[in-house]
Formats: sequence, structure tokens, C-alpha cells
Amino acid sequence: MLFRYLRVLPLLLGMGFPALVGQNIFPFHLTVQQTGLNPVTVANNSTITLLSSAVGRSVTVTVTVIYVGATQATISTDAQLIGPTSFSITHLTKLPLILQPNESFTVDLTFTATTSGTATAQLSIPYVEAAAAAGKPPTGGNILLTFTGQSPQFTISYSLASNGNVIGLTDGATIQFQSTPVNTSSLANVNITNVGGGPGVITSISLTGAAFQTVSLPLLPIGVNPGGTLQFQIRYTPVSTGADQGTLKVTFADGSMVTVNLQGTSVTSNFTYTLVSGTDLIPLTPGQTIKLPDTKVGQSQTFTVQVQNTSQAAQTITLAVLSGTGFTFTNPPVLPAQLAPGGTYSFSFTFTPTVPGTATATLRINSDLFTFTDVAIGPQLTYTYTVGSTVNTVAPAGTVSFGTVPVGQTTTVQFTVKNTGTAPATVSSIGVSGGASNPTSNVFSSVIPSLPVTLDPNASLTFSINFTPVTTGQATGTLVIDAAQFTLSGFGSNPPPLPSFQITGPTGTVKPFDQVTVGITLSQPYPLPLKGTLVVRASSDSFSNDPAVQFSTGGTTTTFTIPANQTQAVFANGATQLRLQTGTVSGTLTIIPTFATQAGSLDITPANVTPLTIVIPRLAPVLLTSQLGASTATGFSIAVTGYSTTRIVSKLDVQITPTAGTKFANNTFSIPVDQASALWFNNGASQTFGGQFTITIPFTLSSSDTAVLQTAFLKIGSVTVTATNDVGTSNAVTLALH
Amino acid sequence: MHAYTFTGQLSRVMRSLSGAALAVVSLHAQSPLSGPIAGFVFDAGNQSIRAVVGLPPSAYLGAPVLTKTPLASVAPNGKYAIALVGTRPNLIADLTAAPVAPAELIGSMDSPDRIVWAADSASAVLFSSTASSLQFLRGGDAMLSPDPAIDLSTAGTGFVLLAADPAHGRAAIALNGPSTGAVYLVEDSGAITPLGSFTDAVAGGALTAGGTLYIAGQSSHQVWMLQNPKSGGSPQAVLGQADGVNQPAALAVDAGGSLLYLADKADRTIRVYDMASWTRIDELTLDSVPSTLEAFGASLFLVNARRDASDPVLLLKTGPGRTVMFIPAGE
Repeated sequence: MLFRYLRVLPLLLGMGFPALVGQNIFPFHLTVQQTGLNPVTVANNSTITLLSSAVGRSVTVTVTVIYVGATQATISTDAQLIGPTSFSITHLTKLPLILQPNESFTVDLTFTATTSGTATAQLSIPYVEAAAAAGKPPTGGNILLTFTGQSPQFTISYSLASNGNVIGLTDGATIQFQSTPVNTSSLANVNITNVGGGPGVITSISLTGAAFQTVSLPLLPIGVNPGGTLQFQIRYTPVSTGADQGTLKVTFADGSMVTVNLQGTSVTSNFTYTLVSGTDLIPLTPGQTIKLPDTKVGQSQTFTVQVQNTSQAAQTITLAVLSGTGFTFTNPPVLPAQLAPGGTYSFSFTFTPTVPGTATATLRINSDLFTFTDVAIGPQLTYTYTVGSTVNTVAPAGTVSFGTVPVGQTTTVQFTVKNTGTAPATVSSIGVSGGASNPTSNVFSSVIPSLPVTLDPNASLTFSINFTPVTTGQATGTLVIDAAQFTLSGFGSNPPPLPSFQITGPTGTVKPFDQVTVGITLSQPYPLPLKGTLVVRASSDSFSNDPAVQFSTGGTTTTFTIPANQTQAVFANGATQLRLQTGTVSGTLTIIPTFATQAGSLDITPANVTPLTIVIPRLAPVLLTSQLGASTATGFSIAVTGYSTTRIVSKLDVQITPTAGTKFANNTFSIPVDQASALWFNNGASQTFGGQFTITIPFTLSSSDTAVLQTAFLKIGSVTVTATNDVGTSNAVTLALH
Repeated sequence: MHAYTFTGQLSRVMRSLSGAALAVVSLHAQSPLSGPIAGFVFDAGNQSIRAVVGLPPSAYLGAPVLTKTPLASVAPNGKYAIALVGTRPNLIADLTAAPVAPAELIGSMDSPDRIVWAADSASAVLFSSTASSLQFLRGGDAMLSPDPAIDLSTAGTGFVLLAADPAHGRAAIALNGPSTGAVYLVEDSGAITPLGSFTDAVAGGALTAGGTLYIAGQSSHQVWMLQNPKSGGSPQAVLGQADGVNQPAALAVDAGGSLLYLADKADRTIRVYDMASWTRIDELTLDSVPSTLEAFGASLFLVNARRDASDPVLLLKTGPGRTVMFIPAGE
């Protein structure tokens, strides 16, 4: 429902009551009902708006008055209507009218719009109500209702685009379009304005005539408020010479209709036109589209238009307008230019394209319209890059954004150079550099295609650019494609944390003088290639650490790598295991790793690393070899080599075993060496050997019997030695002599 | 093995029934002291001869005793070495001397590229593949005298030295093609005797004191045996791929002549074969790629020529507790 025909405006309480009534309650219930609609309850002294659909149209409402008091009400005089004649009421025919509680009467009020303005009338019905208590005087008052009548009124006007003058239209009037050359258009702007006091509705607008079309017509029906205007255009486009006719029909909500005639005339030009292009003379017909010879970008071509008056009367060129990018009059025509019958007038225009592609220009001479097209020949490179499935266009000096990438990972964009021009283009050089945050690392890289490359029109060249941040933070680089330069921009974010890992190898107490195997295994693959170090730190129980505690790769620090997406460390020897010498000094060996990304060396070692701890125990000495040293007729020496993890040797026990048939009175010796041991192991030179030692024991043979002395050494079958320290006694080593 | 002694007062006297007195006497109170030195090795990466400080498996390479030598070889007894000083072979008669005193081997060839010692350290062979020349050095007890160099070019050029037995004045050389190998026996008499052609380039060999030659193919996964080579017998395949032969780098026969050691560079292993049954009895995994099996003392073989800074020296210990020990290069 577009219209509210009935509108109630309550007045302030008490404003309409006479002084006689005082504080008495208004004893009536009032309803107002328009035909076909539901009744509306209104208060006394209300204002009711009545909307007529159009001037001359009526609207009737029924006012029902119900007595709701407790005694009785008496209407002694007829209803009175104060207002213009556009309002009328039905009168009360039986007076006095006595109303008992819940009894009622009605009055019909009719508003017939005679103008488009607003009209107001007041309905008044006096009454008296008996008092409820005996002896009390009756009370009285007025039933008062104010009615306002409104109606819409539409006016139609038009203006031609050629002059903009607004002309009113009535039913049967005519819109006369200007003379229009064939295949060109003229426009008329049509305005439908509601000049009435109430809203109105336009239900339909229709057009006849093949040469006429509506333009910018909204969806109908449509409401128009008082003072509002509906605008649209009618376009006249003749396709042949002669007159064209049509009609415009506008229908309103009340069913009324306005019909306007449309008339247009198509004309032929009084001029003939010739285009001079180089040595070619090309006849031109108004409305024609002419393709001009191609022009290279940056160059110019000039064309001349010759106008000849072919009519029998003098004609004047009053208008010459050229529009179109790259098109300019070479020498602007001097207007007006009068041409005698048969006379000619020439002017030139130039096309100077700056970008390749098809350019269009229009040339209007008086009412004759020409369209020119010219293909500008030249290369035009456009640049795009694709991240995932998103294609981004970037202009030279622009930025190619790689987004945020974790350190060590790589994001690749596909960079495309496309020739959108009309001539081949050559790409001679492409260069990618960068990583401003770390110039030594090429965080931006690309596999450059073989150059130069010739790109035909619509051909393209695509290559990849990788962004592999080596450290966190912003990184920028440069892409240079011949003279075009682009900024490469990406942000390196933290790599994922290192998963838990295990240092494989022996734990707890291990043997000294041994070579054990260690390794590192991640609990799950890591996505980036890693590098790291493994460090062994010795903590000796005695005077000094053993320098023999080394990895097989040499030293106490070794390096490893972990290939991306793998779990096992690979050491410098190319194996996943590495051997370590445990040395010969008691104490602890602590093996602790560090981890970093191979790209950028970003340390990702967890804050709390549990090292692998190996305990080298305090043991009794271990003897390894015994060798005969120099021997003479009067003596010999043996060298016993071994190690003591406590770096203490307190005594040697030597047992001489004679050859068969020989006896010695005393063939065992216990030699205290604690002082000598202390001197040796506290000496800096001994630190080179850890707990290892060689003891040379010289034996001197002496006898007063020269013969005995000469054979004494040959009587010694073997020498067995043990060594003792603060923990215990060693194994025995035996040197067989004879 | 070089021995050092304690300082201190060690004094005990005993008397034997035979009348001779055996006494442990007082040692030199001011004698210089050191711990055990396992020997010396040529460090190709550093072009030096370095001491092995301590005993494996708790040893490391110590400071160089000779530097700037492009090639050197330490005798199995650990006392001598032949080292190039410039292009000239020099004998170092005492590696424990400080400083060492290289003495030019007058009459020796220039710029040899291989030096092989006899097991008893009394003789050696110099070999030059570029000069196609081989020379025996004889002597012993820190004295070596060069024989006249033998010109191999009469048999061809581009020879490699497979094995040498300087003690018996013989060596095996090979001329390799892309997939063929021709083996010759060179004797100190100057005789060069073709021993046979193989359908594979040969990668290593071992020559026993008895004169049997063992030859490994580069890619044929085979080891051949030539008993009494000069007799003209045909090579006999003794090991094949089924025995684990992959890419041999070197062969060696132990001192007892009962075990063959094959260093495999592809698998980084040393495989041990019983030569009586030609069965594989052991396989030892290595820390790095092997390149040689040269005698290093009585029961040790040097497994690699240390080239990379992180390479350890690898020693194959034969006999009971057979193992491969590494000697790290120090800090």
C-alpha cells in the first residue's frame, strides 16, 4: 500500500474542551473508517488526513460516535462542518438524539479534491450528558474532529539536449526532436513532477516508435512525493532519412493517463566530406566509422578533412569538435566558416599515440558525426606476479610482495612480463639482487631465462623469483628488467621450534681408553636444513683434562648437518655416527649440541638442553705393554706403558722369573713410586698424555764373579710387573726375556 | 716404541743365588719426561710428519717434526722416514731427534709419488708414475742406498704401483685402461715381466714374502691370486661379489700370511678373509674412506692418507681384538 489515505494527528489533552466541561471525562469513543479499510480509533480533537488520488477524485470516511458514559447523552443540534466546499457531511435527521450507554450514531464526511493544494475542515457536534448523581447539573461539550484533504498533481515537461529549454507537456502535446543525422542520436530529458499536496504514483511509462528508446527509466510503478520528480530520457536515433513518430504514455495510480506525441526528423548533410590520408582520398559519410592507417607509438600522422557545400545555398560550419586521446587539430578550424554552394573548407588533425592499442576519436561538424579509429603500433610491457593463485599487477617502481615467510623456507612468485602492445618487444636483461638485511646472503634469487627474448604482441615471459629469508625481519631486494625496476619485499618470520632430540651414545660409566660412538636424532623431521655443533667438555677429577678426548674429526668440537625433513645428524665424515675418544683420565665428559638454520645461521637451540654425560671412572692402573730397553753385560731396562685414570701410581711390583735350572734368593721387588708419580703427573709435560705413562725400570747386574756376571742376564726368563694406585692394583704384564 | 722414564728415587737391591746382584738403580733425577709415543705418520693434508701422542685408542696427532714435505713415508719400525725435501728424497734416521735431520738419499730418483717400505724397515721402493721409474733402496739400520732406477717406460707409461716387496727386490705395477689392466712384475735386476691382463682396471695389490701376488679389480668386484707369478700361471679368482667385494682401494696380507684385508672405499669397510678357506670372517666399519693399507708397526696398518682437515688417521689393528682405531688430528 503506497498511500495512507487516513492519517490521525492527536491534539494535546484538554486543549479542545470548553471550560464548562472542566475536568469531566469525554464520554464518547470515536472511530473513523474509510470505505474498504478498517476503522481507526481517534481521540476527540484529532486531525485526520484524507488523501485523494487526484484532483477531482473523492474520498469518504464514516465517523462513528459511541456513547461510553454511564448515564445518557443528548445531541440536540445537527453536526456542523466548518470549511471549504470540497468537504461535505451527512446530517443528523432525528433530533434530539438521546444515546444510552453503548449506543452510537454516524456521520459520513466526503473530501473531493478540487485543487492540488491542501484543504482543512472541522466537524463539530455539541452534546449534553446527564449527571450520574441526583441533584447534580448535567455536563456538556463538543465532539470535534479536524480533517485535512490532500491530493497529488503531476506535471510533465521535457528539454532537448541541444538547448536545455524546459517545455511543459499536456495530454496530446508533442516532443519535437531536433533534426538528427541518420545513425546519430538526439536526447530529450523528460521530467514528471508531483506539484500536488500529497504523494502520487506513476504506474507505467510506455513508448512507441522504432526510432525512439527510453533511457534511464526506473522500475515502475514508482511513487513520487510532493515536490519530487521522476527523470528519464528519450533517445531519437533515426536509421534513415525522413520523419519518425512515436508516443509516450504515462499512467498514474488513479488510472489517468497522459499521452505525448514524439516527432523527429532525420536529415542528410548539406556537406560532403573527404578524408585525405597521405595520397589517398577517402569519402566520408556522416555517422561512419573510419579506420585510419596504423601509427607507431611516439610518432604522428596527420589527416585532412575536406568539407564541400553540396547544397544550392550557402551553408555555415558553426561547430567542429574533435575528441579522443591522442587526437588534436593540427590547426584549429576558424569558425564560423561560411561555404558558398560548391565551396570547400579544409582542416587537419593529428594522431600522436603514446601507448599502443586502438584509439578512437569522434569528429562532429555541425550535426555530422564521424568516428575514427587508429591502431597505435608499439610494444607495451605489463608486469604481473602470482603468489599462489593470486595474480597481482605491478608497475615499474612498484613492489613485489612475498609476504611473511619463515626463515629458511622459500616462497616463490611467478613473475610475468607480457607484451600487451601491438609490436614485438625485446627483453634484454633481467637481474635479481637483494637481501638488504644480510647482503652476503642472496635471499632473493631467480633462475633467469636465456636472454634476450623477443615477445610478440600478447606473448609473455614468466620466470620464478624465490624469497628465502635467512634471518627474521624485513628483507628487500631489487628486480631489474631492462629499464624497469621493482622492489622485492618480504618478511622473515621465526622458523618453527626445534623438535625434541636425543644424543645417542653411551651413558653413565664407560671405559677409559676407548672410542665410543655418538649421534643426534630428532624426534621428528624438521622442515629446514640445519647445521650444528657438538661439543665435548671434559671435567677431570685430577690435575688436568686429557687432550686425547677428541672426536674422530679432531678436537672437542665437531659440526653436523641435518638435511631438511630428516631426523639424523650427518657429521663431517658423512656418517650419522661419530666416534669419540674417552681418554685416560677419570671425570665426566659432557656432550652438548647447538642447532642453527643452515640459511642465515639462526640459532634455534632450545633454552634448556639436556647434555649427554659420560663418567670415566677411577680405576686401578692398566698396564698395556712392556718392552725391553737397552741391555748390556751389566744391566738392562724394561719400559712398562699403561695408564692410571687417577693419574697416580703408588708402587710397582716386579717379579723376576729365572730360566729353568736357575734360582734366585729373592725374585720379587716392590718399588714405591708415589713421589716419582707425583712429580710426573704434576708436571705440565704429563698433561699431554692424560693418564698414560711409561715407566722405564733399569736393572743393574753386578757380581764379584766375572763369569757369573756375564751369564746373569741370560738367566732371567721373564719379568712381570704390576702397578698400584689409590684404587687398586693393575693387571700384570710380562716381558719374556730368555 | 719410544720410552720415557719417571723421575724420582727408585732404589732396591736384590741378590741372586748365583752370586750376581740385580739392582733397580736410581734414575736420572733431571731426565726429560714424556709419555708414550705410538709412532709417527705422514700427514698429507698438512704435508708434514707428525708424532702420534699416546697410544690408540687414546692418542692424537701431535706437533709436526718435519714440515713442507709433499710426500713422506714412515718406516714400519716407527724410527725412520723417507721424506721429500723439495723434489729430493731424504732419509730421516731418527724421528725422535729434535730437530730431525733429513739427509738426502744421493742417487735416488727425483719426485717419487709412492714410497713403500719393507716390513723390516731395512729397504724401500721409490716409484714415480709420471717418470715411469722405480727404484729399490737397500741398507737398514738407518742406512739406505739406492739401486739404479729402473726405467719402466720400455713397457709403457702411466703405471701405478700395486704392491712392493723391497726386502725381496720385487714390485708389481699395473697399466690400467678404462676397463682393462695389465700387470707387470718388476725385479731389482731391472727385469720387467708381464704377468697377465685383466678385464678390469686393477685397484690394489699385495705381494707376500713368498712371492704370491693378490690383485683387486676396480669395478669387477673380484680379487685374483697369482702364485709364483714368474712361472706364467694364470690368475685365479679367489674372491668375488658374493664375498662382499665392492670397490677395493687396497689389499694387505697379515704378518702371519693367513688373513687378507680388503679396504673397500664404497662401503667404507675393511673386510677380513681367511686365506685358507677364502671366507669372510670379519667386517670393520670405517670413519672415512680408506685409501691404503700400509704397515704401521708389527700389527697395525695405516688405512688412509689423511687429506681433509676433519679426517682422522685410521689404524687397522690386527690380531686379537681386531679393530679400526682413529687418531684425531688434534685441535
